[in-house]
Amino acid sequence: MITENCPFQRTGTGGKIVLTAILGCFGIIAFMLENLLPTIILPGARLGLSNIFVLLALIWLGLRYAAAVVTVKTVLGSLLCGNPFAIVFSLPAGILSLIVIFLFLKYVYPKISPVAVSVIGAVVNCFVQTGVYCLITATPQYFIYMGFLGIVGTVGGIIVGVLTVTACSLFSKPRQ
Amino acid sequence: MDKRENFFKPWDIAVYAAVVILLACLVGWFFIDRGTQKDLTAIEIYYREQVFLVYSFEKDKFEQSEALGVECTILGEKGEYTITVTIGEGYNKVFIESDFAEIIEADCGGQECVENFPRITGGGDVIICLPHRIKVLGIGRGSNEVII
Repeated sequence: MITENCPFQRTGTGGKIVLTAILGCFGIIAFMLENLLPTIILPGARLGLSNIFVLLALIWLGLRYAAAVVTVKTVLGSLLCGNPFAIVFSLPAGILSLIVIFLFLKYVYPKISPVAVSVIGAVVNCFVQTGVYCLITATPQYFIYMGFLGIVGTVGGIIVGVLTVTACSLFSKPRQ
Repeated sequence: MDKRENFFKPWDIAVYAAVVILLACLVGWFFIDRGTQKDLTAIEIYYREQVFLVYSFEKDKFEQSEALGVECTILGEKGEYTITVTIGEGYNKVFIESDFAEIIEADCGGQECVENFPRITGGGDVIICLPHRIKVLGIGRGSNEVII
């Protein structure tokens, strides 16, 4: 895909599973740390920094392993934070935004930067999460806050994208 | 990914422009909606999508309906009330004053309803306690909701 100088191109399945587990652990830690901080402006409005590890899994290992990181991070992170209800709207949003990011990276990149792709994924995540929340709570009125949630998501998407690109640059193999 | 990957490419402008336009429309929608429903006239409290208590600010009057598994205690007077809603899953305390309402206490796990939701100050504002399935909804002057 876009892993021209990816250091894990030739890693076997066992190695990829181990790396998935490591990224999943870091994702859970980041998810829990973010939950300790107060939300920004509105409930559920967070930067989503744990998605850095999801994006890294997608770039280094592929869609299946990234989906595993999303699932592990969301399910275990929500359970460990004592908020199991969050799984219901966070997991579909995470999976859907991952698919959108995958499609953009596969078909549009390198016309746009990975940071822009991350922003698109973040906005999709916000929309789906808010939409599912409104459906489950039968509160369509809450969707009116989508603009503010989208702003927080966009800022988070930029930060996640920049940190992901930086991490990829640090770990890529040097050109020969 | 190339070792010298850029943070920005020219086509990113199209992406960011689309995002900015979308978010501007949504924020604009919020302020327009607030403009049409700004006066808070009533509060409705729901349990499992069923409204069981309505308070009218104008009449300073409560109307309570039968709802399975809900016990409601109202303390206070003259526009300042504390409503304790007790259900099987736990309890929530709703505080109502002359122009706002909020959940001030609850025994739910996440405490989102107490700490993260802003006060209800206008029609359409909502506070949700997902673990307890409790919803507090503000009704504004421009709303179609039927109130007491």
